[in-house]
Amino acid sequence: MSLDEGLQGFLEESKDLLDEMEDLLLKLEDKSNDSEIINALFRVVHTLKGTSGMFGFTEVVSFTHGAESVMDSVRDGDIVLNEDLLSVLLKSRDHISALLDVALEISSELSAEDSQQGTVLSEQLAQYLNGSESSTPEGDSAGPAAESATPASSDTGAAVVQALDGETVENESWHISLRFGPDVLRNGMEPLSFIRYLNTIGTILSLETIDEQLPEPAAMDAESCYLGFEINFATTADKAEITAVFEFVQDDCKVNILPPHSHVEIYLKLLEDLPEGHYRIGEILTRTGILTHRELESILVLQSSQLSEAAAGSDPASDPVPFVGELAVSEGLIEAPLVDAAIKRQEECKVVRVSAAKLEELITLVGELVIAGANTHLLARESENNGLVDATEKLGGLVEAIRDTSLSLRMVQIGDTFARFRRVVRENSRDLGKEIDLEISGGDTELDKVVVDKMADPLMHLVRNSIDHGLETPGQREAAGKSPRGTISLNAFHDSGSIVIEISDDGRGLAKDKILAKAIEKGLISDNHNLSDDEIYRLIFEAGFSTADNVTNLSGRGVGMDVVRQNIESLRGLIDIKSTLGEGTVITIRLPLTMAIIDGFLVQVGSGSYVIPLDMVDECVEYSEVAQDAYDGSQHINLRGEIMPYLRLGEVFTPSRNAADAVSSDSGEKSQIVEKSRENIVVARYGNKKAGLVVDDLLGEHQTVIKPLGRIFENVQGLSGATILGNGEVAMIVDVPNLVDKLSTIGV
Amino acid sequence: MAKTILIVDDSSSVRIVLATTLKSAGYNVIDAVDGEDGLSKLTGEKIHLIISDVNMPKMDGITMVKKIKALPKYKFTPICMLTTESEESKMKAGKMAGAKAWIVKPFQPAVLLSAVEKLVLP
Amino acid sequence: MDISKLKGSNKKTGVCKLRFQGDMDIYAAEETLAALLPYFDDFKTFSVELDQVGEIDSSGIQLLLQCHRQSQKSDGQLSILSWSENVRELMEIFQLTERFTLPDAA
Repeated sequence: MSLDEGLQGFLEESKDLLDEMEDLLLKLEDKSNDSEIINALFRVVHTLKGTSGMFGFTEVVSFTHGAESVMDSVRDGDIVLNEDLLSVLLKSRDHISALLDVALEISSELSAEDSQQGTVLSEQLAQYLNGSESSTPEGDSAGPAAESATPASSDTGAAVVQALDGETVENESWHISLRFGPDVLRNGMEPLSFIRYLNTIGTILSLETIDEQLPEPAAMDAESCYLGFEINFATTADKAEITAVFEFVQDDCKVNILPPHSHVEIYLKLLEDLPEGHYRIGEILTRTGILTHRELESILVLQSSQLSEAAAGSDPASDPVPFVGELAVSEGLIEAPLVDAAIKRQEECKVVRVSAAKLEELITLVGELVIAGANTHLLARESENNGLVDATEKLGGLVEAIRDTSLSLRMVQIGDTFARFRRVVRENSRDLGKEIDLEISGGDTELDKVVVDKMADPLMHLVRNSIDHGLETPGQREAAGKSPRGTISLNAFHDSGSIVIEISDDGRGLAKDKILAKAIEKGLISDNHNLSDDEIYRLIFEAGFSTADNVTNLSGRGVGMDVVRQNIESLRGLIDIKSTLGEGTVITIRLPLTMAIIDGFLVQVGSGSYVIPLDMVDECVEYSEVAQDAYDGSQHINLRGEIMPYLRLGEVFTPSRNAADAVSSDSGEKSQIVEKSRENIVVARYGNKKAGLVVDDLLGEHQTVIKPLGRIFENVQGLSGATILGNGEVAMIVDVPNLVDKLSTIGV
Repeated sequence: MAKTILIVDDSSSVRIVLATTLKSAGYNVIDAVDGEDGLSKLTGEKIHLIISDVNMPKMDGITMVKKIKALPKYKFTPICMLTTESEESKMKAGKMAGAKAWIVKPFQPAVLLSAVEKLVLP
Repeated sequence: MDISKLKGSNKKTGVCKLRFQGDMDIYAAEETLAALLPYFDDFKTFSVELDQVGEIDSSGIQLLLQCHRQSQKSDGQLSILSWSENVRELMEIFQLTERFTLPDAA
């Protein structure tokens, strides 16, 4: 267990709390005066603020504070919860969510729109508060702990100083006088603990236990405290730090703290304030070295002169300073800034929080470093200077290590994302009267944070689909001879350079005939199709396949499934579905490990260079070896008996070969291509599909930093990004999943 | 011998932070998720300090304090409440009930530990 | 808390030797005081064995100070015949070691 895990836990918890807040607010739309819901809502907001504070997210705390105050007033009946307020609170919830995203580095910074929204909402919340009581809005009162934990210093001392005669005592240390109240022990406070604690901020030079208040045995209450202490205390701590020691007993203890070289009059005030009598305490103070005899004498002289003045009816200067019940601390020393203490505390925090933007910058730079390193190595090899080659190789190893380490900074476990679905499953199944277990495995699988965050929505969609439509009611399940409890499984694992996420259920499965009927109705396929089962299931990912109104007829899969597919493809991922009627459905999502850097295989097509992600390259063969066996006109090759589609990258990407639409065009162009003897086929694989990519030349392995394509390439199929080679040339990155997918659907 | 501290908070991440901080300082930690759960953890073993949240489901912190104060074996146990600055009325009620030590959230681990040192004899 | 009177106690001389066994903390305070009261009536100066004291806190120290106070009335002081580590530690923090007569070993 570590604080880091605390933070991970907070991430999960805050999402849950936000969900709960939304649920409660929506419930309040129907029952706006249900006190139980209002209480629950207050608690949620309160917990959100409290836990955010624990992690130092002051922005979240200060905004949430407004919402909390309003909810507090609603709870007390000072503010009526109407529709307008509900909508302000709902928007506030969204804003808290946005603030948390920034705090947790899910997003780098608040958009201008969001921050303006925050200001507007804060004002609106403050208006509600002002309406209920004419107090000023509390806005940002969440100060750092160091400030709020320290009682405000009393300024009574200043008044005392003003009235002084000028004589100060010699004592170079602090004097602390304590008289504990009777209830201290009953309240669980132990005087000893506070005295011991003093030793952590300084040294107790002398201490005298005062038991003068102890009554006769018969009158004694053994649970009451009768003790007092006079302490001579040497410390470099300031007044605030010493007063803070007694913070918990300030209601229950008379505390007088006198700085070094305090004026004699302050001691006089102290003596007068104490119940034991001047002479007794004076004696103790001299015995413990706090005062010299001469100082005590002058104090007593001063006292008698004041007494006579008082007797003469003049201004009663001997009015006791109100010591009781508060910490009377004389001024006289410049306080060390509180900031110091705050900084010191912060240093004790061991987790370093870095903004996502900085991390992004680091990873980009490391990418450039990788490219520069590759170039250096190339040049070194050309120079045939063995020493230089060795050196660049060593450098290359280090650069690779740096690359891996920097990328790992952004890797997070998917378990937290999975765990969030427990609540979704629990609550949604309850609402639907279904019994559903969620099984999670592979939660420790790590993947890029960017990917994890972008997967949250698609996963939610898929899990909800399983709950809503995939799984049957207990009655239906029993009728089908299954256990009444259904199961949804979330699983994640590594597989050849990808992360695979599986969402499976043991529900009713997909109804093939209904999907077909629908697809034909929508004109996605023709009547005389020749599709395999898998291909039929995959139809549900087609855009325009389904509309919301007839979801349930089709076991519901299809609502926005094309959006899910697009989301996943934007992550260079692939989604696939398998289903058995009556037994269940498995959706498999395959994602790249990281978004930024890939090991690539560099190929030449015409005059251009292209990069094929290395983990998708199965093997390379010479075109001539397999071409003879190709079926005439059908753009397939026969690789050791395995038939697979192929395409010429040149036709796809090189305008001069008029190939912008080569993929979808009919075959027969083969004859137009001047065959080169040196042509090679790269056998690319994605998931369980393979395809051949015909290229002009193989240039070897190459580490590549993916740069997003400009808008001009946005609509170009088959490219997923670009990179800059060591020699400054730009190479396009081939979008293998896209091409393989297209080939296997269209080519068959 | 290590001293035992009971922490009561409905937020799991607060419990983790509290427990981690306290354990690293050598204390035994028992945790509970609300006031009711907190009371159920008072089974006769010596508890040297109770640290509790105020707002919790089922039973809030102040109700729990009142009930603890009625338990012969635990009525003198020091209690430290975690609060936010907006809870002044709660703080008054809590102090009346017998919880004299209050820590304002947010706080740094060092603040927590120094509070504990003032409340628990080593 | 168990307080037993030891041999050597004498009502005539007013000398009382007591052995404390158990905790001297706030939970035991009332009981301990109740057990002490009869001795305060009958004796003048007190000597105590504290080596079998378990937990002790300020409430226990107060009771010892009360024993001391009673002893002072006849110009004596509390003498501690033996003490446990807990007791010794507290006495030192409260700097009471000069006020009482301490065990020989100290």
